Amino acid sequence: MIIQLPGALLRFANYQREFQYDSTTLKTGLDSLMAQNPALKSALLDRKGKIRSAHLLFINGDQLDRGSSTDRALGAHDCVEIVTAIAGG
Amino acid sequence: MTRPDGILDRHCRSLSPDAELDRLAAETRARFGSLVARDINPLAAERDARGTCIPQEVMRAAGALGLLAMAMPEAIGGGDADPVAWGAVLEELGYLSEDSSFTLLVSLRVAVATTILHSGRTDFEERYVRPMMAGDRAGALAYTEDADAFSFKSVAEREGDDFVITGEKFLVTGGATADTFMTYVRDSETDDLLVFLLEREDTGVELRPVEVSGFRSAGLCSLSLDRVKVPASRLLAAEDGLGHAQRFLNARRALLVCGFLGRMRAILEDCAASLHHTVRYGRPLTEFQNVQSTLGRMYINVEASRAFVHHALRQASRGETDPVFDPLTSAAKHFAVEQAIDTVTMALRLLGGRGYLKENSYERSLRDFMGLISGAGAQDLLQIGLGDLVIRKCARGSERVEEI
Repeated sequence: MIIQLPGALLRFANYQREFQYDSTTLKTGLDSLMAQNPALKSALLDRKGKIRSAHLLFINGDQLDRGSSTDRALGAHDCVEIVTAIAGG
Repeated sequence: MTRPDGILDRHCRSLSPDAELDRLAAETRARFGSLVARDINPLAAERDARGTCIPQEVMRAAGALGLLAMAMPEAIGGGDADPVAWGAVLEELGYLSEDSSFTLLVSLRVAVATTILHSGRTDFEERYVRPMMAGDRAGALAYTEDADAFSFKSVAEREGDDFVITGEKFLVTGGATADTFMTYVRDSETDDLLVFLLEREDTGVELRPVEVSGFRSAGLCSLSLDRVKVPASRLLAAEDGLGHAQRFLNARRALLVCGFLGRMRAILEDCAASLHHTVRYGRPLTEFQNVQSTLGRMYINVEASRAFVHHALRQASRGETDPVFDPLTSAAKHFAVEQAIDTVTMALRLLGGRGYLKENSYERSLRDFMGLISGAGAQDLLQIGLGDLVIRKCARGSERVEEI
């Protein structure tokens, strides 16, 4: 699968925007992403290991509901895009 | 400057099918018009010149009239106004008040009280929420640092059952008269953002006034935290403070600009009345077509902004707003701020040197409007978020473009 990061998270991944993994589920893909970029973990996940509410995930253009299971099976050509919309006060 | 009150309001009432909004505007004028005329408008220019905050006594008087409870739940003595109704009240306050900081502070204090109430903590309700509804307490958001949210330096360290907090929040709106600060700091153990309710009297809390261009009577301060020791019971959110802050800001975004909608309407009326009474070459300026065209353009700005913001508020009232980053709400805030700046700039162009005088409030409104270029979600950040969402949704199913 392909995982694409938003601009706000690039600095946690050495400014690499796109990653490709042979993982078969969203969860294992994200695990691989964070194993390769450990600094991403606290930015992307909360303490319980769930995607923080400030991030939205799209799979092939379809938005994943917040709190959805990441056990979803994905293939080699599936594209996971992360959108982060964070504003200041 | 004097203007016949409510020129556009009467006009709009005759065109608008939404009698409920008109009723709310009339009720706002009846209940709070005297307060604004007596305690806000006469000293607006002086407060702006000196950079002094609207006194808490005025907010207490607003609380006594029920203003700060209108949008709170009926179950705790509030008026249960939904976002549409609350927006209509704020819009009319913006129209009446020559000091945009007043509407800003009213919406801020209520938003903080609402957020604390959502914690479900009855002790917080008694200590903070109910006094805030009465105007006896005032809450502020202590979030912004000179860094992005993933790089906040302010930190909380556990010490037994307490936390010790050290850091700096460099821009706290309403801080000068606030006594409760919804404060976002990093957990030293987990790096997660925690949210504490800090109090002005806590040892180690220091507030310093910050000189700003606009909203000069909104009491902007920096908040310095020098080993502030607080019990764990003052934790408002024990995890995901980042999401907590985004929910607060998102819910507030469309309501925040409602005051601007009213102020834009007042500026248009003032400007038209002033031009109508100015004679050049034997004719009132309003008989010149370029003047008519510009006033028409300003009217379009006002009504387009109202329509957009009301649309977002109706969505919120139906409970259909995305809690963290709602595209429609964010776009409405962005649009209204740009139109407000454009509208007052057009007034300045039409009025020439007179518009630039301090005694007229156009330049003050321009500085206030510009405060929301960065406030409650910087315009450019909102554009990035919106654009990113558009791309994800519109690129759906399309083939990747190969590099040529």
